[in-house]
Amino acid sequence: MQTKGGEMVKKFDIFQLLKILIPIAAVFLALLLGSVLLLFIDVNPLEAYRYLIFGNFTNKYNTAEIFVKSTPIILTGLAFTFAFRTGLFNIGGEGQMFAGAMAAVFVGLKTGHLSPFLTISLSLIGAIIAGAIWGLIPGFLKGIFGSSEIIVTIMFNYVALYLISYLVDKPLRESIGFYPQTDLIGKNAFLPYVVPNTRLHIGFVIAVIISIIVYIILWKTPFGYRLRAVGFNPDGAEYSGMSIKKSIIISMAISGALAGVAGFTEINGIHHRLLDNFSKNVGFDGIAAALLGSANPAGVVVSSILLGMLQTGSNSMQRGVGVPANIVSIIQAMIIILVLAGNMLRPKLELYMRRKEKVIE
Amino acid sequence: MKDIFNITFLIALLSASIRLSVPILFAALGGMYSEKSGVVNIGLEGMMLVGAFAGVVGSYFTGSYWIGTIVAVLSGMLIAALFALITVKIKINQIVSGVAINLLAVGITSFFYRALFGITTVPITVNAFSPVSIPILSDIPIIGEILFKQTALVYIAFILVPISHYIFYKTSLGLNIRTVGEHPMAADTVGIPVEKVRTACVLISGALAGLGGSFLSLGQFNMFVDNMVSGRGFIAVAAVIFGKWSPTGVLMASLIFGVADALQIRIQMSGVSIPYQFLLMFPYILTVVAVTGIVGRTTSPKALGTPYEK
Amino acid sequence: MFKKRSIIALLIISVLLIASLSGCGTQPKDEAPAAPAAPAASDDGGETTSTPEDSGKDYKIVLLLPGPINDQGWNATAYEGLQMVEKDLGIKMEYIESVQQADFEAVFTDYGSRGYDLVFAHGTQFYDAAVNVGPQFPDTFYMVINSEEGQEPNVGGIGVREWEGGYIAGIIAAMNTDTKKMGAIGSFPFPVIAGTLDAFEAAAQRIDPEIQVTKTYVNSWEDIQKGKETALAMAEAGSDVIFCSANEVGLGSIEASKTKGVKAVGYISPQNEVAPGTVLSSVTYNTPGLFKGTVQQLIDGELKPEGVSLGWADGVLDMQWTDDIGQDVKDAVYEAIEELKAGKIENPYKGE
Repeated sequence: MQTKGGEMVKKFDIFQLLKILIPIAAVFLALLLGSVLLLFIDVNPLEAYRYLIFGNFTNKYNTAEIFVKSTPIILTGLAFTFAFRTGLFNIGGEGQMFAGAMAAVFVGLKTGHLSPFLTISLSLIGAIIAGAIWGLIPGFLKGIFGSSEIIVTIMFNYVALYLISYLVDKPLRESIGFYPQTDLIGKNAFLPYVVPNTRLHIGFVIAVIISIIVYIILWKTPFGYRLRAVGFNPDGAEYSGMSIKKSIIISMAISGALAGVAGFTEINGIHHRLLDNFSKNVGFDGIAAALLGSANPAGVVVSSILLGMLQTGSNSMQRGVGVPANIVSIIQAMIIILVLAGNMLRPKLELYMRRKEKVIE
Repeated sequence: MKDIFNITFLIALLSASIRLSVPILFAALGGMYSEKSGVVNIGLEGMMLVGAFAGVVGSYFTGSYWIGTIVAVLSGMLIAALFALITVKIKINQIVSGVAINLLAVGITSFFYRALFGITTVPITVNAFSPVSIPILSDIPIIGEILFKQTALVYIAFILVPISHYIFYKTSLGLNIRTVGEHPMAADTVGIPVEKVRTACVLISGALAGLGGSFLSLGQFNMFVDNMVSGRGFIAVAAVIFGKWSPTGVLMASLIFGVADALQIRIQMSGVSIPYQFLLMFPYILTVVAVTGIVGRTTSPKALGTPYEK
Repeated sequence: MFKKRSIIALLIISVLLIASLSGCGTQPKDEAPAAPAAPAASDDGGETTSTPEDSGKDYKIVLLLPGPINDQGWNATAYEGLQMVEKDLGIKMEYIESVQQADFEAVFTDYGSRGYDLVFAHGTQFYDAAVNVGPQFPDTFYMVINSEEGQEPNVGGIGVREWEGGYIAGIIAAMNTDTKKMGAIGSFPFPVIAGTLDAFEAAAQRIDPEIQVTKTYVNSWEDIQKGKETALAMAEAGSDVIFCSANEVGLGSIEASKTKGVKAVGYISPQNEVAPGTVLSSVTYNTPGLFKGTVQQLIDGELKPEGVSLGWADGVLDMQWTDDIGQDVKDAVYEAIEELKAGKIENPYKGE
């Protein structure tokens, strides 16, 4: 610690390193705790974890699965991020995704015979509108009645879930009527694959493009600036003439639309039909990704990919070593909790280290 | 549907409503403590599941369902302690934490059940509660039949309502809780230990949710089945809100949801075919309506959902 | 923000680099996987090493389940099948629980690319994915349980006519009711379940046209409180025999029957011991046998990519009688079974 310049360099290294080290340490801790359970049932933790981490990359298909899984998480993560940046907590990503999915399926069933460009675009537009509506209503309720959007969006998640359950049970049930799901959407509405022989469809590309769009909107346009100002300081914003009510409603609508696109990618890219309980928990994974990514689009994309790796790795671990589903649940929950905890504790650790350094001086 | 005016039918309906509403009531009362202090608790479902499991384990090893119940309460508190650590101390987003707790609970209960009892064709059964008639009161026509011939846990649930009312509105602890939930900064300035109060409330919510879970496994049955809570924890979250965060409100909300459930079964039996999914949506839509304040003002604790930074 | 992004990008790149390097070195996919996680306190002793009596070829077989193995019903019988295969044929099968629909194709692909011999998929819902993935891995046979279709060259289906089970349950119930009112509880109004309940009703009304059957759905596989309350409501409305086709929920309805002093008919799992005195008898599924039979076909090289439909005629259903069931009931049941075997009775499912 000689020159001021030298000092600064040293500090820079450590704190930036922490950003990487702490999440890794958190994952390590979670795996350590998990290994206790694994040992209990006579499974070798090292072997299990080898599958967890590297099982992702055994072949092209599995590696592609990472991005397949991360696509909807990116979108719901962006939805949460957008609302968060404007001062709102949109917990309804799951429900808005379902709304988008319902619209996409409806469009896909009716127009699936048209040219691919047409039917895919229509499906996407339908999903955006449906998601926007599902986000707009809670936004409206907050703007006009002051109802907490946290609560309303959570309730709307359940309403959307049961609505889908109803649709696939009665009105839209597949023609052979055997299982509660709709018919397949028209072949032309299927999203083309980016990498042949895998399930990686252009939905992932769409998601990344949208994340760039979100970044541009929020940080590079006056419109986005206004929304963020409202989020940052509602009273100040109001004084400078922005209508808070309008901001809230618009913001929730856009946020919902983003999550609605997730419904589009999942239906048109993966399932090709509407069914009960598809893409479980994607909404909350999105929130986790947004938190891990510090609510900025690039971070969301990266965290979503990491979460996608976690999921495909867990599947691999289950298949490769026979780890039962319940342990996989436990390990996943612990990883998410510990990484988020590490994220939260990092500033405190940094502060502590800075204080220490000052004392040494 | 002519039966609905038959007294026996009504008695049976209301008895069933009580049984169906009690698990929700326990969890919702717990959730109410937590939310009144400002912590959203989505993890009620997981805490109930852990309680249901722990109750059976306790009864299995000691042969006493009362001890089982105590084990359930303690286990609920244990999970809640983890939740409190994550949300109050480390201040991670409460929703994500709640969901993570639920994930954890499902995995843990399934894992330990198999570790302890193996995979059996018929679930392990333990000693459990039987209905207890309260002398004199149970002889009251109609009301006695409905209210006073239930298992002990039901009576406990109902007693908790006035107790909670007393705590919230007539004690300084209650005042502290409410202040912390509305204006944590003001509370802090006056010397109320915000984090301690919130932690205590979260622990209470875990205890009560655990109790609600054990009601299912020990009070209604004598066994544990994977995922037997089946979403009641989430309905409890709605009940807290629909009940406007007050003990009597939560009681009403739980009863309404219980009646709706019992009614739905009987409606289905009579052949009227309302798609069941709409009946399932009912508690949630009702809650949204309540929150808009059209039917009476609703104010959530102002600091609900926001971790408190000193 | 730029700095952070570059650091994170660095992190990703380094992880990927390390991973790909190690991934090249160690090949997890071709290792013989470790034994499936058998719980520490398993009751029956069927898990120690058993000497295979066939030519010693190590078959790689996996069982894919849509739910957990202790669900008292569908998935539990599959697990029993796995145990039977291990005990009688000496082959260890792996199993994966709670496979999500979104992952079906990925899982099939995974096992196909790892060169597995036989993949059991326990549920109709797997069929579409099997048909999509099957052609890519012709050396792996995909057997979908409860599908009545197959596809060349390597997808087969075994359909179980569950309504035949419901039919027999209806006969048992009809011959034991005094009030002429019975209850039938189903999980979800899927055709399979609805068919079972309809068959229950049809059989009962054949015995005595005055019998009334109340049919309801609890919309769950695990909510035993719902099952109990539904059965209680039925008993209160006068039913004195209750039948339930809903995996674990059945435990709730049996419990309610016991409380109310009415009777129950066990289903899928042998449930006579759950409530002796309450359960009249159980209609059980010999699903474990299906697995053994299929594995045997694999060993003998006789797997056919076609769909079959099985009922009483094929030994997939069985009766677990209690001691206090009357001989007249048994006679009626056996007579009905013969009729079902001869195809004289039609599936009464009317469809929605």
